[in-house]
Amino acid sequence: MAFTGDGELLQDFLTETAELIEQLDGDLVRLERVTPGSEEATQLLNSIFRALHTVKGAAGFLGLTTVTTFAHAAEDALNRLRHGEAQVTSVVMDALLRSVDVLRSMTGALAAGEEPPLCPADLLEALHAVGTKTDASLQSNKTTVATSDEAASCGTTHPLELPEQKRELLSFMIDDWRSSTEQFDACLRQLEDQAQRSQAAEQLAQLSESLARTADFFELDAFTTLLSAVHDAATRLGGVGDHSFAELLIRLRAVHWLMNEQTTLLEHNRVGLWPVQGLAQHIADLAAGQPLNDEKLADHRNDVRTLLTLEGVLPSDNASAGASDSTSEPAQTTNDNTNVSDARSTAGRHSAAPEATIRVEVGRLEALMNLVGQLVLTKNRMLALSRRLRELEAVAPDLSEEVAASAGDLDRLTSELQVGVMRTRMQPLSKLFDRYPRVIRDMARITGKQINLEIIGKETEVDKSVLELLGDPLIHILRNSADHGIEPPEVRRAAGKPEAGCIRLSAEHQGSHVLVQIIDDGRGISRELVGRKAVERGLTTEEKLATMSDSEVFQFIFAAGFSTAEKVSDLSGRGVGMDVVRTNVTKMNGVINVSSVPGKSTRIDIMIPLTVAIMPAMVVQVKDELYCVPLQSIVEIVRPETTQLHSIKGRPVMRLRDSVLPLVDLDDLLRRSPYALPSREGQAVAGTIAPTGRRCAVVVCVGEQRAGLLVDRLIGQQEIVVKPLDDQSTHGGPFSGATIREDGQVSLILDVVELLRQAGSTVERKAA
Amino acid sequence: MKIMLVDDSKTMRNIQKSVLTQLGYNDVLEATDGLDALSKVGAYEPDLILLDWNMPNMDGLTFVKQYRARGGKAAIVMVTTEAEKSRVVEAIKAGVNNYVVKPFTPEVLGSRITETLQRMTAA
Repeated sequence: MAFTGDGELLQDFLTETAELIEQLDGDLVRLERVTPGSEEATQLLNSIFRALHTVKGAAGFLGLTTVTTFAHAAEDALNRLRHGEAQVTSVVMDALLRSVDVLRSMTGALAAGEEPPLCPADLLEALHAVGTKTDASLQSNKTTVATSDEAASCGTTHPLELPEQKRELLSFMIDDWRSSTEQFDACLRQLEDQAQRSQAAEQLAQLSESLARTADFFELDAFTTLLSAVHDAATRLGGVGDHSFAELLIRLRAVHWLMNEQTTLLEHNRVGLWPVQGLAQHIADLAAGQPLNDEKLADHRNDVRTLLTLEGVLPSDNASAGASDSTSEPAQTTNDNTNVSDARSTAGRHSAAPEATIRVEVGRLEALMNLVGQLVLTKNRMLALSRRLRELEAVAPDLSEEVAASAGDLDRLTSELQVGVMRTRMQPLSKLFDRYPRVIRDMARITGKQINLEIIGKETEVDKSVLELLGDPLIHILRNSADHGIEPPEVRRAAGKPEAGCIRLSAEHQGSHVLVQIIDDGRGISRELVGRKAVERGLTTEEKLATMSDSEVFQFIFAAGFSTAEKVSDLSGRGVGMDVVRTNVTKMNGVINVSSVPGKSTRIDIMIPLTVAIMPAMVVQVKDELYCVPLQSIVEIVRPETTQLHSIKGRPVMRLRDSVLPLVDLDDLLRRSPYALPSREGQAVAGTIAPTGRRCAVVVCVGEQRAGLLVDRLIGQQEIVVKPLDDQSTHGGPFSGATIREDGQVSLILDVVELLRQAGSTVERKAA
Repeated sequence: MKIMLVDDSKTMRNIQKSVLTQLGYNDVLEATDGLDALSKVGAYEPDLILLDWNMPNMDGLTFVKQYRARGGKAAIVMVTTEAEKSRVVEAIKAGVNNYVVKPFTPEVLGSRITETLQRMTAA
């Protein structure tokens, strides 16, 4: 095969199959819910069949025998379901869902460059068992025995010469031809009845058209000519006078007679070579209202054979039946001189219309994104240099101005490029969301609960990196909702709730962020239970707990190893997982917030930036170090008067308008914490202006938590490219990464979520 | 020679397109299903249509019926599977000029196209 081993095609196949697998998962889960035999069920079965069919077809091309064989078995099962030969039972559903899993592992292996695993034998058996019936219909292919010398009919005949693929259809065609011939006859009978004439004519027009096409396909050229003439005639029968109509009708009978003859001939693999041009012409003439040009042609005494002789279709004496083949050979050969090369030479005149989308390897986009990142850094550096040049304006005023202008252009273009590249990485959340119905379905099946998953806003687009990081957290949250949130049907009934629980997963854009919400109408989370566990595990103290808001208490569920489940189940409740949720959300600079109405509902809000690679940040100075604060967390920046500063329970706070805000002294925090850089201590402030006067409070907000970060000085806003840090270099400090500043120096990026957590800030309270 | 490629699978289109390119047919327009193809045939006026059978929105057979009903004259080569063969006669009656069973080699597709076009020109 020319295609085997073609890496690019294999890649295409894997990408498409991955998409189809997602679709299959969703379709199968929906299939289980819809009414069997309904329109929707039919559509789903068709869609599932098509997906498997596509996989099979493409795998066949690529020589992936394992995949082809397996997909074929699954496709067969689907086909039987489609044709109502089997019912969609839960056993069938399990087999089909398992098939999707097997397909997934097969493509996984292929993607890793390995041999795909064989389909488990029991699954193959299960698939074969789906409504198995005899496959006899396909075996009816009674290959026609050729080379019968018997000429079954009058006139010249010839062995049927057909390309192999057409010959393969011959048995199907003969069946069809025979029944069509009968229908043709029925039409002619109806035509004789004035009352049914117009309807019969319409039927005849349709029938002769499809028969003409069949004749053309099987190269029965006499019938192509005749039936095309019949088709034309049938469409204009209305205007034909009585006498002409009778003449027309006998000729149509003649056509029918010839069709019957041809049926017999076909069974002997032969074709009639009747000269039918005259007959066809006369049918056309009569239908057009033209009288026959030769009176002798009407001298048929209503006998079809006589007519056919008069028309020159049959020889005047029937003795020549079964005449030698060789004499008539030239008439049958197709025109071998027709050359397609001239047709090819015209190719390229019309270029193909551009495609709406193209697929790009992820690696290329990543590389592009990296380059843009570097470019942003270089641009920042360029802007800084341009500013310095301005200070030296007296030396070369023109140069300074030009550099400034170019730097400005560079700034604008880089921003546009960055947005552009970023947009190429945006992908719809449906890539994740479409997997979840299957997850919930499996959970429901295992736990014996009834759960509806409602998905809203799956078309919302996010950066690819965000999409990847969001996948696991969402699965964990959904599993938790299904396992711990939603109650068993009897409990729900007792509580006056509908038996089927509902989990709603929604996503929407909010500015430069995406808000993903998971709301379930289950039993809710108990503040007391979570609080007690947190104290037991030494995560907090009773005193601290008392000052905490509900959502702060609920944050403990994201602590590693934290589980309130009474018994560990197979599905969740092992306490692993929820910490992954927060870890991943934090990696994305996101915020997660939990709220709950006990007995009624739990709501989890995840707020994440659209992208994590490049972000605007405020550069602030604390003593002699510069830090970056992600701009998205900053609500406002104030310069508090001394009268605004207070302390509550020993914690510094500031009064901001009508609320009280906890304050975090960055210098203090960074200095006393174990991750303080040793070299900082006692070092002189070099090269920077010592902070004079009041310090600034950068008000940051994460979810419902707000706090003011006290810094010495604001340097300004910059686009920063986030470079990840390994844990060791920060000792778990409140840093989410590092970046290279405009002046070429490295700055740490403050992790606001972690800062707020470590500082133990409390939710702001309304000032009385 | 203008060829329209109708298949809902991007992979299949790519494969077929690469075969067509090998055969020297460079003017190829792709459509993703019958409906898409129907919306494009008017402007493109293909000489030949390579048509998949099973497609969402509008399958190959329905496309053939509608296209022929609108007087479409292009040669249509149906791309089928072994299992669909029993139904090909139905497609032929609707106006399909030839068919090719997948998977096919470039040679087979090439000869099928040539064969079809020759018959069209001879007619």
